Amino acid sequence: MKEVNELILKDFRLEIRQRYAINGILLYVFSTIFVVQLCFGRIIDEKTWIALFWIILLFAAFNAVSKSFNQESSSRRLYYFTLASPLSVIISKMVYNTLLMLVLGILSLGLFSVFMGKPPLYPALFIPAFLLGSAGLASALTMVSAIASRSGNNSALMAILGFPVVLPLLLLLVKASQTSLKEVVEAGVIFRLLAAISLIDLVVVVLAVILFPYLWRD
Amino acid sequence: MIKSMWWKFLGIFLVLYSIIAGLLIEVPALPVIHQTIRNLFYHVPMWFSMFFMLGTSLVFSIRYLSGFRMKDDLIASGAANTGLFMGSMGLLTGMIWARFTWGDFWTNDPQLNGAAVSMMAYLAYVVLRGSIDEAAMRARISAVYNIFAFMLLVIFLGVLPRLADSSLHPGKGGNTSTMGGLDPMMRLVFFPAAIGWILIAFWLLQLHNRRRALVQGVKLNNL
Amino acid sequence: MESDKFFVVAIVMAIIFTGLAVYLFMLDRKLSRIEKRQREMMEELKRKEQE
Repeated sequence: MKEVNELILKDFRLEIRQRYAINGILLYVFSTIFVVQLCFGRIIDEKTWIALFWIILLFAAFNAVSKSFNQESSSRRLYYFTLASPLSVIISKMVYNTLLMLVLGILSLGLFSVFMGKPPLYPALFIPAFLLGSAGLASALTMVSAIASRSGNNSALMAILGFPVVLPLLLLLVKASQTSLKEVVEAGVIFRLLAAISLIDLVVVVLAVILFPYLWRD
Repeated sequence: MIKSMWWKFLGIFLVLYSIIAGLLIEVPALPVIHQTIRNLFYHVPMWFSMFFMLGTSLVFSIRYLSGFRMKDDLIASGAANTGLFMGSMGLLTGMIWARFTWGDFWTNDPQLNGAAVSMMAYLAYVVLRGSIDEAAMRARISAVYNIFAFMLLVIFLGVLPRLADSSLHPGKGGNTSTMGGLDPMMRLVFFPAAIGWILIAFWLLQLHNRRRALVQGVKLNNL
Repeated sequence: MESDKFFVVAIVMAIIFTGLAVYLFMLDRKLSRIEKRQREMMEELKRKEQE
């Protein structure tokens, strides 16, 4: 547990120290949303709003997470390998990326509301779906970036490998957000959607914990 | 047993039977699809055999990670390739069938999307394998991706059609099921066809693997 | 059924599939032969090494 904390702190410090990476992603989110605003204008259909929101967030996540194992060049990876267990490495990366993803998500939610207005999303469904979904996207992409980093590490490969993996989650999130457009959503529907999202999250985390050691060793 | 020939002949026999019987039996008169319901005997077995191949690929990927034998990796990648082949046949035939019954080559149908995403995942698997040079590393990394992608695909195919409001495919959403209430006569052709094509797919897989084993000099003693 | 002449299509498709099956079968036989030859060569190599 302590190891995980240390590793998260390390990632956080690295991010602060090399601010260009995080700034780049923030700027990326800002510019895409601005471009969307320029193209669509303020008045935007609610379904399009949701679709654009998740697509932009997905691409931001790809950008943000894909470098999470880049920094670990082979010699530094060897150094970590001797210090930390693979389990705490993957858990720390997933937690860190989830936090990063939440920051990005909240930021883009704010920017979307400012630039394009906010559709009436039913909070009891949208907020938990958003939180669980961001965690799931971040964890799945963390695992994919670990795979991509062991294979020549080009970002095209990350996109190819990542899409089929995150698509189920993304479609579920869009579905949940569209459902939350209704004024009142029944508890049963909320439960079913959230259960499906949590199921995917759980599977991703369990698989990552089981499979990551095979990626980590040489 | 696997080396022997009888199951290959059984596969040929079953498929041949399904081709002939599938054209000659009386099928129930149905709206929209009419006589094209006979495609059930030729199109659907492609998907069945694809899923058997992808399942085989998963099993051998798990086996690879538990023992690190190159033989298992060879079979896993061969099965993924054969599965992709069967899948693309299913996709092509399905598209033609859809054009003449539902009116379009591609419809926004959960099952269709599920199949397309499965194909995408396994194409990504092939690309991933191509991008790693060292054999042991390639085997290990691609096995990890195979397991990861397959599990998420299972969720995708299991959960999503249930959440969708409607499907054009029978048995899901608001559509009346024809698979459950499949005409008994058609059952007699459909199940042999599916089994026959699965056997043929395994035969293709075996040929593929034996060729590759010869080229790479990997020993495949019992397969 | 007779007027449909479905049986003609059935025969054509059956012939095509049989042709494919025969091709696969020949391929299988050929592979078996090559495998056998490879095994023999390996054994010969081993014997030579031992000598």
